[in-house]
Amino acid sequence: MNKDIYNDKKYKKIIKALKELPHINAPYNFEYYLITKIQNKNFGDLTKKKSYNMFWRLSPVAAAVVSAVILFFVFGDQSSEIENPLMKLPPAISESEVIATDNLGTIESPREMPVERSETAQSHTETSASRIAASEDEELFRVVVRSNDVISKEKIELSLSSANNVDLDSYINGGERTTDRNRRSRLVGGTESFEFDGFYIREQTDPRILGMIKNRIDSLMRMQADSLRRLKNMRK
Amino acid sequence: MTLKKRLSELADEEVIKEFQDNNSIEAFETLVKRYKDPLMNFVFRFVGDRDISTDIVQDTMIKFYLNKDSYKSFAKFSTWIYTIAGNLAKNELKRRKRRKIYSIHSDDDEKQIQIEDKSFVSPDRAADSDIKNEIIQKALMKVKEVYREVVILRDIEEFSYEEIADITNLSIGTVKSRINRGRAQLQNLLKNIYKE
Repeated sequence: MNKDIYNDKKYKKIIKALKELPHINAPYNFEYYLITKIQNKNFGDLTKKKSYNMFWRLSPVAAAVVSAVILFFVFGDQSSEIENPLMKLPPAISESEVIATDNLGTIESPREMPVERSETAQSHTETSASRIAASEDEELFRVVVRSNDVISKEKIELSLSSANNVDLDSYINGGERTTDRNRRSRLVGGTESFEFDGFYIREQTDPRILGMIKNRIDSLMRMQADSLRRLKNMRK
Repeated sequence: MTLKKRLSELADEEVIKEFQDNNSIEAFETLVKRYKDPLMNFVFRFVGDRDISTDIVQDTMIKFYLNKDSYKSFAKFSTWIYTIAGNLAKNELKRRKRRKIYSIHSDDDEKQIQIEDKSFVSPDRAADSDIKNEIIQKALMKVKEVYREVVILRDIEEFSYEEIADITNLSIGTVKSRINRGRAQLQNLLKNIYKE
């Protein structure tokens, strides 16, 4: 090994004293114990991977950030719940729905706009189990007037099954008189397949809106008839 | 010629290559035999306790056994294994410091360090070599760790400045200045015995 004599003269005696220190040797059974440890795989802490202390050191910061986020979501940004009445948009024209059969021409009076379907106009107080049962095969359509005055017809699937429900109004008014024990039990507890979907309320539709809808439907039908006539004339 | 005899004639780097390539336990044992005593001397002078030094050197050899593939042939084997031993010895001293009850007075570079009165030996008695060695070792233990390590590597283990720089991962300039400071501290501690 190359020796550099840089500044060694100043500490000559100390260097000499250190060199003269006796060499300490390993114990005589050093290799025996070493090989035994290796064969027994007794490596102690030497095989443990270093834990990343950095994460532990950052844990207070992480805890503070998480707390801040939680507090923000719990207490923060409530301004969206407060509505400025001046900024509130005017209510849109509500959609008017008419539940009717496919034959639109049978609608003649507001009173004859039942929630249940029927081909002949009936008093809204009259409902019968037979009428409800008979209407099972008919298809249900909904005429919808949108807020932009577009009229459309949609097929609906009532979530309420008339076979499983009872018109509470008529029942209370006494219109629902039946000796049918099954039907009675439907009100109380239902049949085996009965599922109570809820009470429903017959809504009294606004006659002005109904008139408006009727006029629009009439004009649409006239337009349809005109276009059919023109097509026939063109073919001729 | 037996494998062991053949290995004993090879250089360190060739022996460890044999160990890496063939997982030869004889190659491992050859290197253990070569370095156990020098490492023991180095660690003892650094740590000051024989039993702990034995454990540290054992751990050094085990680490060498487990991580043999991390040795790259462009470095000297001696610097590599002394680095492992030095790091384990420093860890031990750190552990000892954490367990130690600190006194009110902290160590200070500028403060004059004196050996305790009850261990003071008159110069005529200090001629006794065993006592002298004990005094020197105690004085060495009072030198700051970062100076002590390089002083031991330079003046006891006789490594060059370049090799010490590789072992300690310091620049050569830093190594030289730390060696000088360590020697100065030691001289101050032993001024009653060694007068310039």
